[in-house]
Amino acid sequence: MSTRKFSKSLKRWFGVIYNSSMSRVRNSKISCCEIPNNNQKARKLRENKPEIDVQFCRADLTCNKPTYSYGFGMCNIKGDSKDVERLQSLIRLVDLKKGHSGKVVLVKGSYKVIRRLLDMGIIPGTTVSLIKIAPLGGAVEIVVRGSNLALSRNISDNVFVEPI
Amino acid sequence: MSMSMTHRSKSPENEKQANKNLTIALAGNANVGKSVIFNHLTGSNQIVGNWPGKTVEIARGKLYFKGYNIDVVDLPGIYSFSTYSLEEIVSREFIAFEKPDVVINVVDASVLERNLYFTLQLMEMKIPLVVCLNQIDVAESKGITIEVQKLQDVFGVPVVPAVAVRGEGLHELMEAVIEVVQRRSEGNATRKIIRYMPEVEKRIEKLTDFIESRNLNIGYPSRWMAIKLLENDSEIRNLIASRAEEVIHLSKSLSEEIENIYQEPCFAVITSERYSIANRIASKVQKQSKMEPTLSERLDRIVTHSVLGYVTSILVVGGLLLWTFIVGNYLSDILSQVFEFFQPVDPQISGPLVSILWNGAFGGIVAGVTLVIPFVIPFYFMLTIIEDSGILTRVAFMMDSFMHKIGLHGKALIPLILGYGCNVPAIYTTRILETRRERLLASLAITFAPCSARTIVILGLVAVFAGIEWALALYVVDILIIFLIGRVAFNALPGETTGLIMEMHSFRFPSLSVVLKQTWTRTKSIIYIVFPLYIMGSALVQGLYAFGILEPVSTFMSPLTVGWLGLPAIAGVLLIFGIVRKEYILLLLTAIYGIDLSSVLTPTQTITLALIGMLYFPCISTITILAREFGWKSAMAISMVNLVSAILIGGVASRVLALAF
Repeated sequence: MSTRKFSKSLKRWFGVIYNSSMSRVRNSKISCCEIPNNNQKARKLRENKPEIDVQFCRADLTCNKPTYSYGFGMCNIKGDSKDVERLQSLIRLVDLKKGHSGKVVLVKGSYKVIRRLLDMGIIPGTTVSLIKIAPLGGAVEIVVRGSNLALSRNISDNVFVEPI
Repeated sequence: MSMSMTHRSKSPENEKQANKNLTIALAGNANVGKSVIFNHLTGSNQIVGNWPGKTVEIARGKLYFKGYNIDVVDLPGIYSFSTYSLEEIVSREFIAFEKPDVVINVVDASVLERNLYFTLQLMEMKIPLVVCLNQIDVAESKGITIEVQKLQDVFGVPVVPAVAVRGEGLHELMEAVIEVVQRRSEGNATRKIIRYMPEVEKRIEKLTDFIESRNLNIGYPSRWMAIKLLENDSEIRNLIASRAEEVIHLSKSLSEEIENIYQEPCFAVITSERYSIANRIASKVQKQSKMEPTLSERLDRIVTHSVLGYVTSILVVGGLLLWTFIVGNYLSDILSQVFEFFQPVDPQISGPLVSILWNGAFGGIVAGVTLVIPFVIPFYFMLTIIEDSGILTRVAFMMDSFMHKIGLHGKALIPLILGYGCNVPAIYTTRILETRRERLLASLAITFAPCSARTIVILGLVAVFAGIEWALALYVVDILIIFLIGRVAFNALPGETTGLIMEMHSFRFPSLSVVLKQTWTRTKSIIYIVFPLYIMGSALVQGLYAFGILEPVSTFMSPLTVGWLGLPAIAGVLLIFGIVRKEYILLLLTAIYGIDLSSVLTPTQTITLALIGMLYFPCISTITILAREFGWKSAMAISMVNLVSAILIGGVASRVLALAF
């Protein structure tokens, strides 16, 4: 898929969300956009985690079922080329080099996990640095807002950052 | 401790104000030192430790200070006032409905920004507040200095720096609390309202006014309820929906407006707003200078190293057991010599009464003193050091992926390790886990963890009569069993596995006085509560023995005990009594046969008996807590899993061991 096509598809998806009436959003509960196909990193992500396709979305006020997955943090993407570039430069938290930092852009997870991460200060725009990764697919230790946090791999895999 | 003593001296002025009652509550993030402050203020001995989640229930204590009788309440550590964990609901309901006169917000000065995020939420609760800036020594070692006066100006509440572990600043803290109380009764509060960004603030105010106009008469303050509604707090929404549906409609349309402006879910907008306020305040009041890596950080590199980390994890658990055995055995030897004169009499000759009193009651005391106390003291001593040092969170971090294999995550390892002390508080501690399913899985695993009572049986029987290497082998086998059973249970009880989100605190050198005090607290409860049980149980079994009732019971159970497990017939009685207290297995043996058991049991039998004792059934206290936390059905199911696996594994083990010896 070319960049232009991707930006078109982004527009289409966002169009669905924001041009429709609110009730529609309420009923659909979750709407998504796709990560681009032509992006090598994205493909890597997709291979690692097939459900990565369910990307960003917006919370529904009436819905706090803890079981379903949704994320947010990219709602202001309009689909122009700059945003696409930005999206393409995203990597998973664990893919940061040790001791390096990144800016959180996108967080995915169940409602409970998202709320917990937010309360611990992992919010889109926050700088996090990777301290260490436990071997054998183990937990990840990061520093966020001056505190050291340990996150399971299944959670840190769903935190996407822009490397700084 | 000292506080309540030193200020008891009554001056005439104090006499006049005597009997004024106050309630103060300690609130704050997990592991910031609330329980340490609580212990200092009230002279109590709440268990403290360097890992998040120790205080899972509200603790209360008393303090007399400057003419006030003060009830001090220790709330569980939380990060936010949402409704997704039990602790958070408990804390906010306590603050809203019991209305403490002052809330002391304990803040970790070394992680100021994240702690202020919670302070901001306390400010929204509209309660008289004092901020205790704790652990300033840790902050200084990280190169952080904080301007207390500036922080005080921002919030308009007193801020008191402290180092609670050394008791520094706590007197000033209490003075600030009293000052807040007096100033409030004079009616001039200086507290400021922290405002959000205009777009959000406008809507909060609109909703607040609307709620106020409805006169809902719910215990919570209106502005706080407005914010919670916009944050999509289901409990507050339901609470209000039953009284004024129109408030919910307004909040929905307002949060839609916010979502349209910020293009993000409303709860995320409010959270990030609050964090950006906390960030602004923190960067205004604190200075960070570059520092060399601290000792704690260097230590940290070792214990979470990709290879050394696992070595440390094994050393922690293995070292705990080895230490307990070496020190316990040494103490046990000394004490046994003191009680060398004790020899059981033959009931046939001396008659039932003498045998019940001498063999039974006194034998129970001897067994308790020579077998239980020597092992319990070094065990709890080391466990307290481990808990206090902060190494538990590192082990949890290293073992996270392993725990995922049995449907849990790293944090579940903390109650599991505590289970080596006693299963009862360990099962209680599973409250730090997120879902009921995880708590059940963890509790099942905990019932297989050899608690100190079972350790006494293993060390007193196996290590002494078959060799220490066999005792350690039993622990390794036990870990394998925990893993296998956990794996099976995980598959039988499917569901979502949540992940680890846990704060890792710096290492700390445990203070000797705290360690000694807590060791004593735990040992004391054994002496006061459990010793009478030893005496009664031992006397009872002697009575049954003297009146010839043991025989039929042993015979009845012998197909299982003798036939399948290859144990002596008396084992049936031991195992029945062992359900009350696991130590009975060893104690009653000693009471009946004297201290030297090598003539009664072969090495194979000691190992099998200890293995069965380790697995076969939770003790009564454990069953009770399981039933209380999960219901009788689950408690019985867990007990049955224990029983079945013990019978299977025990039978196989006795046959395999027969080949080895």
